[in-house]
Amino acid sequence: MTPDSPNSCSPSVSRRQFLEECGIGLGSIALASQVGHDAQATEASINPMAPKLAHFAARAKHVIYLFMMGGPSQLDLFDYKPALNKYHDHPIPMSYIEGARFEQIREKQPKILGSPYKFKQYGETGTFLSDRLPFMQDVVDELAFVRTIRTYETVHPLAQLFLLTGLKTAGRPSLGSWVTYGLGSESEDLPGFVSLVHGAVPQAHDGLISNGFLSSSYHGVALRNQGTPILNLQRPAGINAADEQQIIQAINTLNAARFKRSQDPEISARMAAYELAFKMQSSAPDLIDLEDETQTTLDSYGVEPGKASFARDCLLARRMVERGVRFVQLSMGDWDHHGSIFRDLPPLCQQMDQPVAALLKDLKQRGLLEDTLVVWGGEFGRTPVAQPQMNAAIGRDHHVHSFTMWFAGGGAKAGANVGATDELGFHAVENEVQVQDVQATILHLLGLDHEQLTYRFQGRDFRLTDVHGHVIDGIFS
Amino acid sequence: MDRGAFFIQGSLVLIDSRFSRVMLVELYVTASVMNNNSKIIRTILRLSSCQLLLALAYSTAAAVADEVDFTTQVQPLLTNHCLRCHGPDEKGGLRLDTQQGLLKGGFSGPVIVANSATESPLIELVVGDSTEPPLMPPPDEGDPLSPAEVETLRNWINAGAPWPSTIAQIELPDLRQQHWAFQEFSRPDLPDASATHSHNEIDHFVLARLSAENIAPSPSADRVTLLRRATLDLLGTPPSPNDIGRYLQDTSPDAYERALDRLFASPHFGERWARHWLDGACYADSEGFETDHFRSVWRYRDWVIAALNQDLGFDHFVIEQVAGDMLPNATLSQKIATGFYRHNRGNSAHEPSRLQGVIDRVNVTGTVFMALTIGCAQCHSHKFDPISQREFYQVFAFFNNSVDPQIEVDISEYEVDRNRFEAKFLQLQAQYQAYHRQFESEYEQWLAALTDEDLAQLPEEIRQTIELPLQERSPEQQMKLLDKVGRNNKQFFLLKQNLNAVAAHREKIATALVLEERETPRTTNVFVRGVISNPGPEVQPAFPRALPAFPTEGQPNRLNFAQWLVSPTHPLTARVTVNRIWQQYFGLGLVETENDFGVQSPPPTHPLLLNFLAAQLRGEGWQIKRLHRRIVSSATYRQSSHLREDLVAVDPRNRLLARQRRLRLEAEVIRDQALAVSGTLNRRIGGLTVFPYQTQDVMDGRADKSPWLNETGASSLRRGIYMHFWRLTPHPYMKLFDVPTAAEPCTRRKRSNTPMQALALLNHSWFQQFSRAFAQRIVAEAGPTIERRIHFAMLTAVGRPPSPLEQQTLATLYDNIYQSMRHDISRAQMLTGDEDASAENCSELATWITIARTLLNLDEFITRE
Repeated sequence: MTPDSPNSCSPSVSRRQFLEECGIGLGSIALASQVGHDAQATEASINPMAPKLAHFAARAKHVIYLFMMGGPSQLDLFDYKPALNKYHDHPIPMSYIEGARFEQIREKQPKILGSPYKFKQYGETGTFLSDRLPFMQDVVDELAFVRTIRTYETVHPLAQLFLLTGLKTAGRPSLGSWVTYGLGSESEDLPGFVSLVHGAVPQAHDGLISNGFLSSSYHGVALRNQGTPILNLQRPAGINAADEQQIIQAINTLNAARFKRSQDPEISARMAAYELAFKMQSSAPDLIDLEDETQTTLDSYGVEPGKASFARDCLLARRMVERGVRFVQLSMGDWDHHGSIFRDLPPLCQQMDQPVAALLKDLKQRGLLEDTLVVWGGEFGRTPVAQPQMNAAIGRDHHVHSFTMWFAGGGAKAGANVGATDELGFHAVENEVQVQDVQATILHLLGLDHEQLTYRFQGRDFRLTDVHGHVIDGIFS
Repeated sequence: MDRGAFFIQGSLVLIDSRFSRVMLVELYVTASVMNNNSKIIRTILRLSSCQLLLALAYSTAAAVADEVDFTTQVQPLLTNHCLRCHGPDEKGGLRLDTQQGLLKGGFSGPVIVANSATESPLIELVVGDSTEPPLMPPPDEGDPLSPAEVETLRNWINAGAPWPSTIAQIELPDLRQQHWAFQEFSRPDLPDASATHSHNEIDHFVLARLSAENIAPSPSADRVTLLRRATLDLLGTPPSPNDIGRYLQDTSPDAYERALDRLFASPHFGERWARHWLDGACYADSEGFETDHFRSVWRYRDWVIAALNQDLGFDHFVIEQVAGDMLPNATLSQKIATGFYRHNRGNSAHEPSRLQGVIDRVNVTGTVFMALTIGCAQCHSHKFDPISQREFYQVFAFFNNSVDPQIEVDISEYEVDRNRFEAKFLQLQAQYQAYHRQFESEYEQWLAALTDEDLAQLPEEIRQTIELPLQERSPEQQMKLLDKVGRNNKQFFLLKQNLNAVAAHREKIATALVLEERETPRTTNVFVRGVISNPGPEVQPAFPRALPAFPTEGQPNRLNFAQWLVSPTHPLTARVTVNRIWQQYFGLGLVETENDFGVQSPPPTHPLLLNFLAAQLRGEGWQIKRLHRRIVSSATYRQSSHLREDLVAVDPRNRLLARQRRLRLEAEVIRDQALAVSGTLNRRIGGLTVFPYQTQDVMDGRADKSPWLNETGASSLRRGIYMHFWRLTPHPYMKLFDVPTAAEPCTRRKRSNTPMQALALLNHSWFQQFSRAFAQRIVAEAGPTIERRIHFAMLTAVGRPPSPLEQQTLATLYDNIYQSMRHDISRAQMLTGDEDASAENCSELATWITIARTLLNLDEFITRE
């Protein structure tokens, strides 16, 4: 068996032809990777990232998930509760906290903690925003708020895993993996699921971008959070693109021969990784090189050239979406304000507010917002009651009973407002929304039915939302 | 009557929520208050029809709940919350496991007043009031009663606290009976097995299970695959073409056993298996946290390598690491062994930080030796396993009694290494002195420019120096003065930071971090809710109750703890160890959760095999190499790793072991292997850490300014286990291939598969260098023809000759690249880095570099098959 003339075809065509020549056929690869999804049994199984048909018409093609790790305080940013200031320092009535769960607060009856920030109404929708978010004022009308998200895990890694994988322990595929498994990627030369972390990488991080039991190809690709985002893009000096193409092709020809013998699906995933790596050698430098951005754009995000920042990550997210990346997970750390909240929250808001507002405007201006769903939120919120600290540096504890997330673009209904919390922002009084509902809704906007997006593993059809999940009513148009 | 309706309506509200038990109880209260069911029914009749249905449904339930059932409601409650202390232990003179005990009460009097819950102290004890949490159970012993449980207790007392005559005493469940991992074990008998598929005892157990499932085992892998598998598993480097040749020539039936003899005798066995052990110990060469200063723990790493090579019995291996300092006449080596516990967070100079470090030590101990998630009990009693919060701190007490010294060690054997740092130090010092000479010449100018205000702001010491004539200043005074002169020079400032860091590093090289037991024990308290600033009751060192006792004279200490771990009745240590070693050979352990043998863990796939191997380990003097040998000699280990279609559906994860598994190699092994294949591996064992190339931005922004030496010589060609590991800034290559963070004990590495890995193997400067060296080796060693060279290259890289297809693919690639290089000789020169060679030689070498690079990127190259 001779490989095809090296100059006439791309490595991927070669691989496919090669597999066919080897008599492996599509069926056996599908078998080897235990595919349980109809879309998978087709052409797509050759290239795991090939675009696939959605279950129904999609509103969004891409997701930028702005994951605020640690749990930002909804009460100091979005969920305006004047009663907190009115009853500041009063013990919270027992009726609120019966059965409530905190992480660290141990008092039987903790005290209400007001917010020192001024809230005003902005935009045509008259949405209340805290004065810590001056840039968000301009884009507030684009947002669809859900104010009553409920979760059950009070510990960070567990709550993070629960939010993004549906299970509190690591091992299940994350949202981004499910999405790329369901839809593939529109980018031929960049990964379909990319993760960037600004700040300390969380304990559970690998679990948060993990493919779980899905093929390794759906594992999120983590870019570096310091220095240049992607290393090793430069070919060895002296090897040109044509040589490289032949080399990658030879590598995958030999890999395919090995696959034929051992049938190990990891080889198949490795072959896809090499094809992508080959393409990334030319596409990724272009992605991370911000030279072609105007100074106005850089300034609007607050990007300083050559410096890692959340602003740079936001700009990279837009560039990735432009290039067809399906799911971008931007994580930002340090929102965990058990103490000194009013000292530590403002500088963090400053880092987040401007680039996020700029991202929404930028996407809109480029016509990308229409089919890009932007999601903002933490793994839980923060308590309306104070977590006392020894040196009076007061904070808020983790709040699982109700917290705020917002959605923008990608079919989310600008100006929508789902759910309401009680006077103190403690519990939902209207439309409690479960974490699985959020997952179902994101999939829905992408044209995926969360009940149909399944994967058969160990004799059972698994899905992101397990046996739960309802698409949230009222947040998409 | 109104009250009854209120209760019922109240309970209807609750129907929607999760508290159906509370609701039932409330209905029961209604019934008992009214003491007349007919009145309730009448009340219900007034409700709307919708409510009626629900209410009727629950009124039936209420009638049933009328009598609290002792065995299903009260007994479990007492068992779960009370009897661990108030059973046969009679804490406070109270036992609640007999009716007599219940009625008698404790030292402070009766606990119940029959028919009156409100007057019964027991209720007050378990409820608390709005400001105080309940007194019972103590927070470090168990979780408080739920509201529903309290109501059950109330109702039971109100009903006269009936105690069934059939229950003389509530039997406390024996935890050891309940969960396999807490049970003692012995060597089981071997199941029968067919001789054709069986090499040793292991196969009997595996085949018995397979035949029960009607699955045939896989045939043995071919000889060359098997040799590469065993060599990578045991040494972490591939067999050389010579090794392969010798092995293939040996056609005797015990050729494989002879190959194993050679592998087990190699000193590289210790390096390979030390790495697995260090993952569990959280080994790293720095402190972590913001500063991430250098920690000199490399002597401990070398101790592990040596111990494994010498096959120090695993019992001694454990005892020396846990308490080597407490052995009679402890040797330096035994003290160094306690470096096992010097990879924790924190710094013993600050008390809260020290305590945090002790918590880490307890966690590592739980995970590594016992596969118990003891750490869960730091803040509250374990949710699933029989470890109370108090017991966590009782174990903590064993480890709370050391000082954590840094001891001097002789490093005269490591002259080469010391010189590496000396050279760096001298280089920085020379630069520093050059700056000082420059500042000396600028001194007058600097002084003249100082305003009075500037002068006033200088430290007193400096002002005094300025006053002195040059010849009267001490060298130290002059040095400090010149530092001040250059204080605004940014380059100088950075240099000084680097110099200080290297000087500190250089000082620490000749030291080791160890444990040393204090003479007077520290007091240990429970930390309420795990918060260090919130000490609760005092505790003494004690072994967890779910595990066997270990008699000691007087208060047990850390040495006793170590002895207890390897005592003949300890049910965990041997099995946990066997399981983790097994996992390295098969990808998954016999118990899948290798870090958790608690009650939540799935049962072993082959429980008898696990017991057999553990019993043998213990019975044969804890000889670890013997255990390894038993595994790699088995037919089970030798099976082919090819996926079988018949297994895809029934056993996709190969839990039944009807085949071997392909395993992607670890970060270090991939690099070690590439070094070996390229013929440049520096096989020296032990010594200081090394700093092969990494991109400069990795070290940017570090608080600790130790430089990464970016070595290029012999040090850069050493095995990955010797690479310096800064916790905060691990080498990017290592991160890409899933090296653990050393923040928590890692007992199983991930094996991810990403395009970033492909980019690293294709383009990282290490691998460019390895390809070049490998190519030179191919040209020099393989003979003249392309065919022979391809043969040699494949044999070297993946341990087997090429198939015709592979031969042809590579030959075609060779022709095409050669033409391409010949056509543009400047590219060949760039690739080879040799501008003087003839066009032909240069193109040839450049092409072989390409072929070498291709082979180093094969999935097979980075996989143990």
